[in-house]
Parts: sequence; structure tokens; C-alpha cells
Amino acid sequence: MVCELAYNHGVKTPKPILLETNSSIIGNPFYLMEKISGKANGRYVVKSPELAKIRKQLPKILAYELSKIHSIQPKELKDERLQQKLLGNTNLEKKNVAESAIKNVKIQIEKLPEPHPAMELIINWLEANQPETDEIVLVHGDFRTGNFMVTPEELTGIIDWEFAHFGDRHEDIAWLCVRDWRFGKLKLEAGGFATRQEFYEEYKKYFPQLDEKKVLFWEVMGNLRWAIGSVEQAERHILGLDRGIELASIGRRTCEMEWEAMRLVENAR
Amino acid sequence: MQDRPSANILLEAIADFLIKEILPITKDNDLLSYKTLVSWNMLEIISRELKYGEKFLTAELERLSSYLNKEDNFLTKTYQEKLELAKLWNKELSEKIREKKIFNPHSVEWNLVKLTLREKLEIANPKFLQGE
Repeated sequence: MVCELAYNHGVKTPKPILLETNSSIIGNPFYLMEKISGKANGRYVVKSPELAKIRKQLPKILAYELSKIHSIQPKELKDERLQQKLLGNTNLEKKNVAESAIKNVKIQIEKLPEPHPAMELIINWLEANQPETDEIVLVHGDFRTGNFMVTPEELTGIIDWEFAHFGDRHEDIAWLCVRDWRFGKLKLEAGGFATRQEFYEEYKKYFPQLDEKKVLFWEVMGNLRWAIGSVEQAERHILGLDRGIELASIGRRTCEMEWEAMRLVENAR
Repeated sequence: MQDRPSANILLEAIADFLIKEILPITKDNDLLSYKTLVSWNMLEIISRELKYGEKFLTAELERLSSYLNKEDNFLTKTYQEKLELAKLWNKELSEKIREKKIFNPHSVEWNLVKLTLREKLEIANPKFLQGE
């Protein structure tokens, strides 16, 4: 289990207690984790006056936590099946992380019910600007405001590990900076709680080679993925698979992520 | 022709009710409060779509028709037929972008797509464009 791997490497995340793979108990496999205090709500994290003090410390704390996640390499996993699952299409020798990510989003775009010319432009830019990955590491995959718990005193845990995989560390850094995860605090580009440079400087204490061009690639990719995700979520509502007002409304937000990805490309010239 | 009030005024009445009467009583329930705001926001989207939807759709078809060299007279079509046509022509545009591997922000295609995105945002979330 990925969160157990992270927990054993000292990442601040709730202690995993039980993994039940038998679907017959509650209808799906499930796992239990230690209960932790705090709240993860994005708007609360970036805006609540009671968090003013801890918010200032978040770049330092989160950069440290992220560096611990990124210290985990595929070779440390004894379970070969899990290693392969976390690698997906990425080849350990070729380190073709960007290529593999592009292949996956292309498959997703093919399945969308309506044409999205903006996504086609973005995918072409991504294909022409693929960065190399220096080192394959564990990537949280959804490292953003809203997925860590905080109290006014401390960060109590990183949560939501279901998108964890082996990939490029810049993917997590970029995802934290994606516009939608700033929850209205647009100038604080790192998760709505710090400037981009403040966060970069803290992360560079552990990895001085942080490459802003690679962050750009993964941020454009992040916006594209979230644009696709918003279409998929709305489809769940439309098809009646999972009805809800939030799912229904998210489809109309696709153009926000498409616009942002294109804006990033325009500013990259 | 329907009697007054117009669809837009009906929507405004529901939006007002949600914000003034429902939202205050959900303040102790974060999720309910959030869903009320999402609902209010969706009503605002519908209201803007009723006002500008057809105008933007026609403008999009004019751009696509010119780019794809189409000769269809779409102005006489119903709203639903125009939507179907926009879907078809956007598919053709997508295929051209894919075939030619276009991603230059100075290209005709890039600007064509951005104009349509801007119009989508004018309806879905005009605040998003502030500062652009």
C-alpha cells in the first residue's frame, strides 16, 4: 500500500491500520487509517484567519514533506506487482515519464463525448516540449491544497494517495501551483498560501536542480488533466452513474482549465 | 409567447431566494452551504446562457464556417441544429489541429479556439477573465 510506504519513510500521513481487499464486506475493497485532527477544506486553508500563523510555515513544512515523498524510489519496493502498477506505462530504464503521461491523456481525450479543439492544441504543445526525467521517484499525484490536514498549530497529515505513482518530481510541484488549487488567492501561486518562488526556494533546499521549465510542462499537463477530469465528472452525472450538484456543475468549468493551460503556453514564449 | 415574468426574472427570483433565505440557515453546515452556492452559481450560468448563448453560438459558427470553408446557411437553423453543427465543425477543427500538429499561439487556429473559450467563460464564469 502506497501510504504505508510513505508512512514508513517518515512522511506525515495518517498511520495505515488495515487493508481489506475482499469486496464482499462492504461492496468494495477498503482501508482504514488512523484518525487525525484538523481540516483539509481548501477555502478554509487559504482564507481562515485562525490559520494565519501556520499558513506562513506551510511552504517550509510542505516542501519538507514533499522531499520525503520524492526520496522514495522504485527499487525500494519489494512488491513487484505494486511497483509495476505504480510505474504504469513508464519504463524504468527509458524514464519516459512525460511520453507515458501524454499517451494516457490522449487515450482519455479520445473517449470524451464532445470535441475539444483547445485540448488538441495543448497536447500538441506538450508533445513538442517533453522534458526528460532525471530520476524516477514516488509522486503523490494529487499534492495540493485540499489534500493536507491542518490545525492552527500544525500540519497534521498528507491525505488522498489514490493517484500516487512513480514519475517526475516536478509533477507534484506543478500540481500544487495549478490555478484551481489557489482557491481564489490567485497571486499566491503555490496552493493559495505562498508565492511560487517562496515554495521553490524551500524545495530547493532538498533538490537544488528544480527546473522551472519542467514545472511549466507539468503545470500545462496538470491543467489539461483537470480539464479532462471535469468533463469526465460531469459525464458521471449526465449518464446517471453518480448524480450530484457538484458533478453537474463541474462540466462548465472545463474551459477555465483549457484557458489557463493556453495562457501558460503563451507566457512561456 | 409565455406570460410575464420572463425566464430570466424567474431565475433571478430563485437565485435571490437561495442567497437571502437558504444560505444563512446553512452556515453551520459547510457542505450544504457550499452546495447552495454552487446551485446559485448554476442559476447565474443559465441566466447568462439565456441572454448570450445563441449570439455566441452564431458567432462561433461564423468563425468555424469561414475557417473550414463551409457554405451552409446556418442562420435559418434552430438552436438545437446549430448546436449539432458546432459539434460537427469543432470535430473537424480538432482533426485539423491534430493532423497539422498545431500549437503556435500566433496561429489562426489558436486564436479561433481562444475566442470560443472566451465566450464560454463569459457565460460559465466571467470573473475568471478579470485581469486578463
